[in-house]
Amino acid sequence: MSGLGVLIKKELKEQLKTYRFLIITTAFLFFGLTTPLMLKYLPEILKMAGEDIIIDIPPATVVQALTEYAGTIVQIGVLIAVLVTMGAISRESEKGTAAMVLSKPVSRIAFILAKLFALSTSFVAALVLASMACYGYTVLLLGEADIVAFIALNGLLILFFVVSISVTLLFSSMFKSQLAAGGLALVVLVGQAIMVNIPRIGAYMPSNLVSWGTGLLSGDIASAWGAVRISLAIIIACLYLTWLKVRNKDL
Amino acid sequence: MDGLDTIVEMLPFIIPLLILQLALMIVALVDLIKRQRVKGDNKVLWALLIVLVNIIGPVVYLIFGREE
Repeated sequence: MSGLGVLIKKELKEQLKTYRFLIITTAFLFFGLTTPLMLKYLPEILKMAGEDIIIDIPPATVVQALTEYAGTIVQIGVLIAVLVTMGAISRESEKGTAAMVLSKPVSRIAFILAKLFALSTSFVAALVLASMACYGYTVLLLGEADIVAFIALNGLLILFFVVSISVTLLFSSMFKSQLAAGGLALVVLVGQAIMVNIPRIGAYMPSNLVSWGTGLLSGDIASAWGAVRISLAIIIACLYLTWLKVRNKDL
Repeated sequence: MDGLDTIVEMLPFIIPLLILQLALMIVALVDLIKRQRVKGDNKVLWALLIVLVNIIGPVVYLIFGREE
């Protein structure tokens, strides 16, 4: 795996230069800040908008705010993960930058791992910032929240995002067109989210990680280690298949 | 609580959001100005999108609009 360190450095710089880090962080922060804010003030905003209408909304709870935040971040996060990853290999191959990088003494597995690492780092950093902001707002606006459960939820969200990035990376290596890669990745990721509702199989879908995480917030101790194992297996399988694809490809 | 009180109470929580939106908008606009070529070759249209559509406008430009 030669050249991994150099490639990681290059990819991390690229994350800043192509605004990927900024895009992910801003989008996450936006929802981290607005979710508790909207939950707290929505009844009053509605009251201001229509004076005569009496709307009875029960006061928002801390668990509700953090659960809703996680739900939104997952939806937006998957979309962004696909958007910023779909061109990772296909576009570089098209522009010829992949060939340039691979003409140096770096292995192809290092080329793939560096991309996964840099994209995951952007997501982790953005999630940490947004979750801190969301937690802060929630505590200030709605009251004390279970920090341990929230940290655990974030850990599970990170695993989920790495799965999303790995799947998109694989499709990015398979197709010349960015849109085809992104579209198919989205189909697979949305498909598994729908399959969560199927009895038995559903428990092993990566999306079940999110259900486990949000369950922790309300004190639900039912775990989903099956989903964790399957998620790790998907990441490894996607990396392996991407490597097979890139290895034999004239980039 | 009447309307004005609510707005005053919300204000300190809204300011960080406004800063976030503004910062993203400025970054996108600066990039747009510096860039020689953009998708669709219409800088004005991109500028309008960045300024008028909160958060999503700048993000769409930064992902799709830039041309190297």
